[in-house]
Amino acid sequence: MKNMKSGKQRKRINPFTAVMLAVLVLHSLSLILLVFWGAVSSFKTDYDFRFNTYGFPKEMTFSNFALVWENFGTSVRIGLDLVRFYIEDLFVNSLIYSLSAALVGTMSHAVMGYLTAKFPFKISKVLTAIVLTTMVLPIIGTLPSLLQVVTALGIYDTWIGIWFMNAGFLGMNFLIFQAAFKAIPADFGDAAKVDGAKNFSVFASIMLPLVMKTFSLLYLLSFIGLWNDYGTALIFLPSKPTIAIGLFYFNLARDGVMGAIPVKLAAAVMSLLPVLIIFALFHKKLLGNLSLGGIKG
Amino acid sequence: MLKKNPENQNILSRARGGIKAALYELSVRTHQLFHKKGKAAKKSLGRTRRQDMIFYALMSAIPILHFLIFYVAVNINFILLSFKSFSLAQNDFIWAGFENFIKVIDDFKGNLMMIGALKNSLIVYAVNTFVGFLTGLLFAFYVYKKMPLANTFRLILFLPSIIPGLVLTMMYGYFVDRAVPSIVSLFTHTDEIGLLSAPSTQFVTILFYCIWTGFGSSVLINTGAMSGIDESIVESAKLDGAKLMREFFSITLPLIWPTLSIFLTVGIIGIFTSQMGLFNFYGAYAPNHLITLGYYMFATVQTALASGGSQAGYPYLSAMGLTMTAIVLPVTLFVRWALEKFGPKTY
Repeated sequence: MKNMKSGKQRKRINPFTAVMLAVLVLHSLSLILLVFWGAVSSFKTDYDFRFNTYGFPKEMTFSNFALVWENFGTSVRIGLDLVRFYIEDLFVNSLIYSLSAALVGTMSHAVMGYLTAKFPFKISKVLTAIVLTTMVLPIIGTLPSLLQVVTALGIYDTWIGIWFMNAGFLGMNFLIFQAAFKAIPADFGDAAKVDGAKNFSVFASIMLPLVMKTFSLLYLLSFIGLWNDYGTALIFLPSKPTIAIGLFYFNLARDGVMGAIPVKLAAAVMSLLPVLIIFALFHKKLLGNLSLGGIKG
Repeated sequence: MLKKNPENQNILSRARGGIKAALYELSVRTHQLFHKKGKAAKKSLGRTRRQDMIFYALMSAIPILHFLIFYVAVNINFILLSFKSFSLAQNDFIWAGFENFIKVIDDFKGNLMMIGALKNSLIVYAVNTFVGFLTGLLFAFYVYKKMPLANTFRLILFLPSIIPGLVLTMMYGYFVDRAVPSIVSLFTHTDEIGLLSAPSTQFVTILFYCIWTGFGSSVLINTGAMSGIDESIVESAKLDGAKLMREFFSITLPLIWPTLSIFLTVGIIGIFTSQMGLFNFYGAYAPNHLITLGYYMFATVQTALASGGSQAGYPYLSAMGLTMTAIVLPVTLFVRWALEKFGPKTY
């Protein structure tokens, strides 16, 4: 017991542990306090915020949230018309964009990971080599060219265009899926085939459920990334603005009631809620140990 | 008894002949059967392979088409575009030779904004790599060793990857620009300028934000790589008296080096693509002294689209991208080679 106690004490006073603990506490506190400050300030009036930037509100007000609910939105020129998108329209667009593009992207990576892991054709090696090469040897500044190609194909500013743009297989997710499928013994698929299962059934009913943990994690990460991303939608989907685009324009507003900082912070807090709910529901899944060997723990 | 009877002998010989004939028949039939089975097996194998190939082709059709269009075609067009210019008279692109490349090189030699953008990009990359990456690695080690509050820190470190960048930028921006000066004024008793309003502090404030919010995914992936280390190696090192730092440098680092070297190699592209979160802070109108090359290229395209979709600037941007690619390719290959040659090794 004595030895164990002294061992524990040694661990506690380890300089590395002490320094890292201090740095991490500072980092975590600063992050939490910032979000807390933002949330608290969103309940202040503009006047209160001007003279009381860091304290608690002198008088709590929910009017900022009501203002955001009524006015949050963005106007987009579609043809000759200027169309106004309100918060519910932006929310629906965000949902369609994030849910569908994340599904297309994750499924595309899963399919290609499965094919290259389980079918030893020469093309499987070629495709894997392409992924590895494009990861290490990047090409910079192709955005103008991409825009031209998308426009030439007639899929610019369309849902089909966005889905097709997300249907690629390059990148780290391909390697993660490939490793996950390689880890499944071939007997699983062979046994099903002896019983008369076709290739698609083996993939959809046996292999995909076995990597569902990896699939759901990558889907969630992709969904969150797309929900928060406004850059891609701003350029490739201008007539279907999302919540993130609405917030981007809202933040740039400098005039009138919408220009008040507490109102902007209220909009930020409202935009934060869906993501925080997802995080609260799935944080264990999201924080699973992701590696090139699949998911652990 | 049987032999002596001629009738019986006759029956016996007929029976022998019958057996011989039956055996012959059997051997022929068996041969035919096996021969047929071999063919059928081959046929069946061929059919399975054909089915596999059809399945492969159908399932991979869209991703491969995507690659051919969005990688091959886009990059060919990208190269061609960099040798063109937009003619207002013809309202179309015309060949311009190396005109765009000469302009890019001239800009990097004499245009103060572009020189500043290159300098900022290099600073962001260096600080992110040497401060952000190394600190993130130590954070990951702390979490991996399950030191006090490790799981809580892991959760909090991951939060910036979940919270929309724009939301965090807004809160951080208003905090450092409004709340921090008020707090500092309490001590200095003078009016302080916001950190994002004073030109002298803008760059450092945004750079700090990038590092401060950038640990999440690297901690997650590095912790994943570390947790794959065989526990028996760590235990035997402990029995030999290895301390925590020794374990980090002699066991953990060499064993997760393949993952780290991928990150370091892939990260080099960040020199030319990092936007430093400037679009979140300023939209398309960041002050010139703050911009990075990644931000410049994105903001230029976005501004052109927002103001009617003029493509006149595309050839110059493509030439700039191609020039950067020509620089970053050999650097990436060199870094990859150097990391493999001089990185920590496992024996």
